[in-house]
Amino acid sequence: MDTIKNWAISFAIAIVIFYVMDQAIMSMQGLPLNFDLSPAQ
Amino acid sequence: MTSTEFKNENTGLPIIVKVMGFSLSLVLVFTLVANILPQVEGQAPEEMKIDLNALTMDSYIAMGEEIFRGKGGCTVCHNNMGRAPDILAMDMSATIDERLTDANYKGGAKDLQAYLYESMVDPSLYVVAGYGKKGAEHESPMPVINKAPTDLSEVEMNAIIAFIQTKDGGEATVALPTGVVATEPKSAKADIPKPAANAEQALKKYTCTACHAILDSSAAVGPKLSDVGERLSPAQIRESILNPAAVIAAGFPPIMPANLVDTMMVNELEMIVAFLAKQKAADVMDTDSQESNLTQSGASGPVVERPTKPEQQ
Amino acid sequence: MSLFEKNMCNQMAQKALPLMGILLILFFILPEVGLSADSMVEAEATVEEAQQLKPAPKLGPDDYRQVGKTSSRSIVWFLAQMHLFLAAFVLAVPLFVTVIEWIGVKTGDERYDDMAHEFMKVSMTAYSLTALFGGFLAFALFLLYPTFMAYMMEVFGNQVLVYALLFFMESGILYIYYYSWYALRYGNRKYVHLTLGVLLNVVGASLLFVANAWATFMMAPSGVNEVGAVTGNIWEIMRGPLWNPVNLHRFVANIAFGGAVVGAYAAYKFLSARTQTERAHYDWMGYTSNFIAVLAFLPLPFAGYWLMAEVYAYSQQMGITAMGGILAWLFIVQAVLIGTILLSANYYLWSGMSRVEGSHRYKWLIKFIAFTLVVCFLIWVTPHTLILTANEIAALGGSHHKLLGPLGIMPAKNIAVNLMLIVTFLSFQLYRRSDKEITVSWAPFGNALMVAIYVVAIVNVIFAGVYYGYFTNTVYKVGSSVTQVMSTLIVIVAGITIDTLMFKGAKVLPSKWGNVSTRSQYALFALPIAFTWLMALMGYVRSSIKTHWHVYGVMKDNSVDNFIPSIGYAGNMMTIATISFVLVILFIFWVASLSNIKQIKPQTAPESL
Repeated sequence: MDTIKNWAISFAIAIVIFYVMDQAIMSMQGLPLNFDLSPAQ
Repeated sequence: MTSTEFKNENTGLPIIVKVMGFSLSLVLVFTLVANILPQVEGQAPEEMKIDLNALTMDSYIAMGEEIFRGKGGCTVCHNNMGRAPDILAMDMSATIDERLTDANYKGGAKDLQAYLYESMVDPSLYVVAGYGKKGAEHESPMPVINKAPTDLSEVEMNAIIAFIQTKDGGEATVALPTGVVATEPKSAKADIPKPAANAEQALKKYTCTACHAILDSSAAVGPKLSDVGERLSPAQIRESILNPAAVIAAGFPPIMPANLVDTMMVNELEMIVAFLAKQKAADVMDTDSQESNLTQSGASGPVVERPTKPEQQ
Repeated sequence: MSLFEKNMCNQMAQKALPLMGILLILFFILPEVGLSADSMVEAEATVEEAQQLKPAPKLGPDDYRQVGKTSSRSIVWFLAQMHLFLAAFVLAVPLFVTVIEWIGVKTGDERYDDMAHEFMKVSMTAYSLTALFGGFLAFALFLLYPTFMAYMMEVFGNQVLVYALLFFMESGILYIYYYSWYALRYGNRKYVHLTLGVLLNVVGASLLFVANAWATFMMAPSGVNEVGAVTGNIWEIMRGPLWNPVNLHRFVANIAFGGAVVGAYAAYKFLSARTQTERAHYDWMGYTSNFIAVLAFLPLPFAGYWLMAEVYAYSQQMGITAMGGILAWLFIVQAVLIGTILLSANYYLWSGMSRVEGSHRYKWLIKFIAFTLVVCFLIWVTPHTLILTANEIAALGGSHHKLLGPLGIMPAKNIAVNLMLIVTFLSFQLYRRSDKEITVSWAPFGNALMVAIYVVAIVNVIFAGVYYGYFTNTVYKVGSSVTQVMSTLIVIVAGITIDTLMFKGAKVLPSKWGNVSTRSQYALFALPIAFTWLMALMGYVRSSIKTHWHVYGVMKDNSVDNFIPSIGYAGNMMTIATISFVLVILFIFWVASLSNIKQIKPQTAPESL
């Protein structure tokens, strides 16, 4: 159980980090994204 | 393990040879890769020599295509890779109305020719959606074509316009460059103003009417010219203009400009002389005028007697 | 030392840090603020000059000289490249030497200090050769391109004298730093010595930045108007759009290059070692050098990307000439070189795992890393346009292969590069973990997090590349490459951070230094060779994207060499420079070793009475 918890939390953290990074980096360049990461322009 | 038990494996070639051999082989691999690729030299653009006498619209259009693909550097971006609209593949005359009426269009062109010219000298006046600079959609990444480093001349830009207009079956609306090539040095001809069209205009041009009573002027600073044909011969009239100080009419100040000899054109002079020689009092001999000439006082200049009858030349 | 002297030393050491700080500020922030007297004088001069602006001269055939029939361009090319190779080396070595020295202070391990000293010895010989080539280059430039150089002097003015003065400082500090090594060995004196090292690097970096301005001015002139007349002060001239990207790129690349060259030194000494102690010493040195080279190499694509982005922003035409136009094939050659670098670095790391018992648990991953590297390399090396004959084009139905063509454009290549960097870092991380048994309580979570970051990063890189690369417009496609690089950077930063935290209190297994295959040392030769040739290749790009201009848009090149040479010709030039550099480096290594050799005084028979 501990193992599954570890993996679940780890992947959750990783996904959040990369999702936020994607949104931030693209909008910083003037290329905003929708929630599903498709181009907003 | 002690140092004495260490067995040096270096039999055979000395290290330096092995190392150099390996290094050389690796470097040769890289050199080989560079040499088997397509070899292209990037030549500097050559000055185009245009024989304007032999230029036809067809050859002008062909020249435009050559510049588009070469010196102009257009195909670097205008191709099918997505950096800029693929002009070669699309019919520009079909999209022009759409562009000119677009809300983002900031230019003043009304037709394809003007639009194409505009897009070369001020590309940011209109940027097709999706091709703007990153983060600045309405700024064009296209360079200004009639400035360095592209530096195309008007003739070259018009050639490109002709090419773009005609490549899909349209008509070229640009004018062929004429025989007077812009590269010829500007001769003195360009600086010479046109002479006056007739004597009346010449008189006004050289401000004779400011001091002399002639045409519709009644100025009395200098002698009346409305009847000068009775007093002076054409030669004398000519002399008064070219060298006013030679003879000063009695009672008048010696202030007539002496530079007309430099500024007046030959044909203007002749027109004035001919015109003034015809100026005689209408039918009536104004005998008083001579007396009034002689009796006018206040003149500071030397009074010289003039023959009353004009000398015939 | 008396108590008084001890206090003095303490105070000196305490003052050293703030002094370091102040000097750092002076050298790095002043340029940004532009507060030097130089710029104030320049500003006044500018007002006068504005009244008589002198445009850049238009060069004709009489403005160029040749040595016989030899191409002047090739002479300057060779000399410049040699100077840059050596300069990169002598600027890089003090950078990592100071760090190694500091690690030596922190760990108390004498080996670090000895290694740092040995690296500096190698660098000293290289320093004078760098200056020699620099002088030779300057003479060649003034002889062969006098009018161009006159213009450059007009533009840069007194800044060139500042450059010369900086060399006085560099030489002075370098000699003191090296020769005082054992005089300032321990305690507070060591901190003085470290300060000197930092100062040396500050001056060295300043030299680099000053010289970079000349090259970046030629590519993207600033501080001059359209016809090349000087309208700005020296700071405006220096701070063009490409200056800082080139500064960062060269600064980091120098470190990678320097690490690779000293790695070759270590490999050479390893192969010629006579005792096991020597073998162990040079094996360890080789590992450290490779560590430095790879660690500095990993962020380089980021710096290179920034440089290219600035080139595109300055002139899209120039950017496309480099990557989509006539020079595009060059980047395929670059792929071959970077593939060599990454494969060599990884191979060395895998070979090194034989030093440690604890590496067995990670051996299974190696084949996946190798597979990824090879596949990504193949993708990276696939061109968009194929070399085809007319018949082949007809058979193919076009100039691009339907399946492989899409692999030839940037999105695919970005995926490939980023994946290669990620798995290289993985090799790195596995090696670092091999000799440790982690004891922290949260280890399972830490490991799970690390794996999750790797997996999500790889997925993100592939997603960004495929989706934005092929299914959205150009601007998004280009913008997504930043997210890819960031993904790689996150893996690297997270990896280093998590490992540092997890290694606290870890049990360190013994490493058998020297217990590594001879073959692995050749990887340490391949690295600097590839780096060197790659540097020359990038120099060729940098110079060529100016096309037929000496100073882009301002001063046309009207010499007989005003064309971009073909890549084959360039390749031959680069090979000549690389081989020459290898010979020079071997000479340098030999001279460095020479000072260790002491001839034994011959025994003479005692005079007997």
